[in-house]
Amino acid sequence: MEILRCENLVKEYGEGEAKVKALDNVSFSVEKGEFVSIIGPSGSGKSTLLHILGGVDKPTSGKVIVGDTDMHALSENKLAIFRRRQIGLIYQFYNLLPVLNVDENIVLPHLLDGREVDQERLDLVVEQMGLSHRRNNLPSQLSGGQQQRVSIGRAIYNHPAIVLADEPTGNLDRKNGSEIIELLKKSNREQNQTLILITHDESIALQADRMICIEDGKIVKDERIRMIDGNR
Amino acid sequence: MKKKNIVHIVTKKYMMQNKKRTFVTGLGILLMIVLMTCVFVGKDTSIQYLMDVVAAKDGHWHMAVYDLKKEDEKILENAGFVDEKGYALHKGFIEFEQSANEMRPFLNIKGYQEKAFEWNNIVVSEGRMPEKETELVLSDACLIDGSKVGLGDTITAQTFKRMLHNLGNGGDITFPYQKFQVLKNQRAETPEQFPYFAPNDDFVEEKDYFGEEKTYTIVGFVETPNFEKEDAAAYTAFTVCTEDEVAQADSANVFLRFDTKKMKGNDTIDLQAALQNYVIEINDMLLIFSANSDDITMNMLVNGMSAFFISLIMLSSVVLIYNVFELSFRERSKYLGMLSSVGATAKQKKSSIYYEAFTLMIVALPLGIGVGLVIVKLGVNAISKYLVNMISFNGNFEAQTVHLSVDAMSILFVILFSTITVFISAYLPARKVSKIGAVESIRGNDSRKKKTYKMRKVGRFGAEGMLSKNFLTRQKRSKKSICRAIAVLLVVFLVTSFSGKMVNTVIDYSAQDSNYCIENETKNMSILQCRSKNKELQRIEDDIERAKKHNHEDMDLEEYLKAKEEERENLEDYLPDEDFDLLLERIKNHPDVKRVEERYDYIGGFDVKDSFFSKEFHEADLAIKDAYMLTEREREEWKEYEEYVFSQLIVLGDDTIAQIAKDCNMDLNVLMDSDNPGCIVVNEKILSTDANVYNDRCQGSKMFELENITDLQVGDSIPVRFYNKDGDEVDTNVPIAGIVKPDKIAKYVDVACRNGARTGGFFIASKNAAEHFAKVYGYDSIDTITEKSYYIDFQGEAASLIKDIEVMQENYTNIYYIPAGWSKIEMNMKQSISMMVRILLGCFVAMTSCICLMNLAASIGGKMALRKKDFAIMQSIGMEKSQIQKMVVLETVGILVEGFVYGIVISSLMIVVVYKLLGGLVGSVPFSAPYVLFACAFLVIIVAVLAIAIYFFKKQDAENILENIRNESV
Repeated sequence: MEILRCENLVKEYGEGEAKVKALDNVSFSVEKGEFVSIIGPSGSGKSTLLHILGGVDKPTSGKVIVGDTDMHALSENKLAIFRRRQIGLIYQFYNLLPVLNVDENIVLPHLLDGREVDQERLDLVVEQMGLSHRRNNLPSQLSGGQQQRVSIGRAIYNHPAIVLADEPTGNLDRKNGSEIIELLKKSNREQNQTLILITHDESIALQADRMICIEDGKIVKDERIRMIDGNR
Repeated sequence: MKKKNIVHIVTKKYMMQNKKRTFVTGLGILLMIVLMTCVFVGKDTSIQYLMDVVAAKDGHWHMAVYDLKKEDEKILENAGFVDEKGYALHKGFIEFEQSANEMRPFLNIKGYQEKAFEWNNIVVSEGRMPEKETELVLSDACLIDGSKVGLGDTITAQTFKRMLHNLGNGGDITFPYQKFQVLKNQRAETPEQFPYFAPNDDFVEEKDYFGEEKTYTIVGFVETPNFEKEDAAAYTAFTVCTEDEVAQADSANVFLRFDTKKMKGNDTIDLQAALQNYVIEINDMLLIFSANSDDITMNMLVNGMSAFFISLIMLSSVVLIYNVFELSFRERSKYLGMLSSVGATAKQKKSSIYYEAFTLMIVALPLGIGVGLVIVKLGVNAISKYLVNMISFNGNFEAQTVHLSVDAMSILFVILFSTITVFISAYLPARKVSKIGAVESIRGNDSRKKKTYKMRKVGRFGAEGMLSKNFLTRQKRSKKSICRAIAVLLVVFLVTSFSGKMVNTVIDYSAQDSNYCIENETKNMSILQCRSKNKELQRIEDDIERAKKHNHEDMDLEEYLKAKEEERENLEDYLPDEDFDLLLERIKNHPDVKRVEERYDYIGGFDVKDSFFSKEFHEADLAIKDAYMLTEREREEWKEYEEYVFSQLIVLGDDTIAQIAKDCNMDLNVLMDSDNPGCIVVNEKILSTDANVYNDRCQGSKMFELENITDLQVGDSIPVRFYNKDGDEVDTNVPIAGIVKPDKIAKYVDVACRNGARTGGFFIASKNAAEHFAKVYGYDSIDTITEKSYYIDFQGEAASLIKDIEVMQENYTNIYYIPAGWSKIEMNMKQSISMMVRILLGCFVAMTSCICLMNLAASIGGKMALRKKDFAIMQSIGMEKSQIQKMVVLETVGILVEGFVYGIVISSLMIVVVYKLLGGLVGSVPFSAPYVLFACAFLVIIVAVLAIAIYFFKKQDAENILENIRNESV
């Protein structure tokens, strides 16, 4: 089942001679439960693509359809609501709220919907992230790896349609980075969570089901590495 | 290569990068300097303006001594504060043949030194001032009278003294108004302003010529000098007087200017005492405004208000500048940490903050002082009308040009206080900066919290409420600057509102009239009184009869009778009763007179036994005595007089009494009883050191508003003592028909005028009661003892009638006339002072509020800027704008509450201090907090803070989420 489709995405910055095309007619689609990696050199447009997919940036033209919803046709408020329910964003620099502890950061999108905390779900996520002993700590009291786990927990807590991860291991050492990737893969496998991951690290990119290469704003390669069921 | 301070260079770059922040800080410092300049220079300029106004009318001298003998000059030398002297000599009289007024046939030649001319505002209306002894400028009164004299005319004459020769036909001759007496068969030199009398049987005027005949040239005319009387025999003619002439003269008039900075409180009184044999004039108003008067209250109020303003300005400025620097410090902690990591010392890091602070101050100082001076000039111009009105109860003063009074010391104080304020503001951030380590600042965590926090439950306000609570409680440091700013703004509003109200209350109470109570409905009526000549004659006869009858051992009967005879002779200046009756008839029948009411405003009163008075009364009385530092002996002496305390009786018409009885539920029968009439006790009073004068040692001014002068109740009796016309004591009891507060009877009787000579209080009685008391006094009726007042309601101009009344008042000493609207002058003064206080405080609050609001804007804006990333993260995870705004509003409310708590605590302490200080100055002044103003203050702050928060939030909101998320530093 197709969960995401991009149609002719263009993103331009600047005007006149200074105009830069970050994305140049990018189109692709993603199936539910797929783990897609997007790889490319620095400045290739991969982060721009991810942010447009996540609804935190608007394309100059083109469409992003998640499920049945044309995201960028939504009003600002509706887009925000859509984002908190359907999109999970993970950043390189964690981007947690410094005044919330681990639990609060994880359930924040859920609370913004005005819903009661599902304590069982929370406990499960916290356990999955290996943060049971750190629940009452603020981000400033956690290591980088722990903060990224919180970020992942926040992203997956609500069972979003897609989880988007922008260089999630970029700020971590190899060991922590591997653990993070494993967590994401676990979430993808066990919960059939659609995952799109940006990286410049080929070794990480090759762990995905499908690898999309971007250069100069264009998709230059879209290669299936393994079947969705995990087989190559 | 020139050595460069890299820290300063980088600081300058940051200042340029954050133009808004730099601008706000600079503006805050500028405003502070402007305000301080306004306080220091404004005070000096206002006082100088008042001095200019007074001097324009009354002269620039502080004291004038007339006919000071040469040998007594040393008294002036010994008074070290006498700074300058200007001499004037009376050079004699000459014949003035050109005079058109036969009653003014002479010229009075007065030689003035230059200073004397200058200080006495002698203004040439035509021609020029004299330069030689043979040049004269004449008083233009001679031209007004029609004298045929002009510029260039000459007068050849010999000077003479005017002598009055008592021909001995009628005994000693006394001219009481001129304070001049010629003994029988003697001659005496007349005073300068003595009128002209044609020769008669009793005395004749003679001329004693002296000096040589001279030819004088008239070179100018001057406005009639203040001292020249209309009925003087001579017009004034000014000429110059030389140092030699002064040196040779036996006596001279001396105008003195004091070095007021050298003076102490009693100096003027001591100098007066040393010169007691001379006629002296003191320019009271000029001395008062040189802040060396004996009006200690005024001095303390002026200086106290300056200190108060400066303190509040410094407080608000310190908080503003500190907040801005603290924000600045947090932004720059990373780069400063980096500097630290490459070897910058603590001193170098501190210098970053000081460099910014003092760079801005150096720019702001000249600009701020300049702007301040302009504001002072404009401001004093704006209030000049009120300043003039404020002193107009003491004469008709005119507005003058405002000149800035810029004292070097004042400017120095501005620079000093500004520097101190900026230094204090920068000190703490500079200290923090110097301690910052490289690692913490680079990481961004300059504090490692150890505390853990349990998950907060989501309450009524949803996730937004939870977030706001967390921001408030888990990042306390970030909200401190906003709390400080709110607290300071609240303190400025509350303390200034309260102080303004207190000052106005003090002014209101201290400016009350004394001994004059009139019914409100008659306030716009003219008042005419005539002390009956027949009654006075009768009184004198009675006094003589009583004295002869009693003939006390300690009384010198002969002297007493002689004094009584003099009193009888003085009645020659009384308008006879029949003539007054004719005048009254004329008034009643005049077409421009609407109505005439007869009232008995003042029949004196009676002595009330001190047991009538309450503990509150006695305690206040004691405090006043303490203020006068009475010795034991003095207290013993006064005790004798204080067993009974004089209290005033107000007699009202029957209709008014009936109305009061009805309004206040009193028994009218008791009030109207002829045999044992009751009184109404007005149960409020002010006792003050101004009215209860024991000696001249009073320390400061004290005032006590008594809420209950008596603890007695209706139905009790007032123990009173009368002294009847035979001088015998008559003790009796007067029933209390009612006890009221002044406001209850305000529409009938204005007893707001509550000060007075040491009176025990006010009692209101009916005419029946007054008749009864008159009989107790031993008189047949009230008419024998009262001062009947005639209230005249002039409908039209009635100019000639009023003029006649005024002339009668001039000519007869028993006629007393007050035109309608008299109270307006007093009200004008009070209103003017109140208005000025309101304007000054209002302007002060407005300007200090600007500093505080800028502080708030900077703090809130700064915080929002620092949280750009947080807002972007929230948006990225799906928080709606309205949700973020709700969170911001809830946070702001939380910060407001905390800021208010601090503000209320600090304000309360400051209000208590202000109350105690003012109370210590003037005594127990009742006050009520200006609740409406307080409520407005809270409302204004709430609206301002919320508006600023939402404004800055919306500004953030407009920017790109991604950019803000990526933005690691501001």
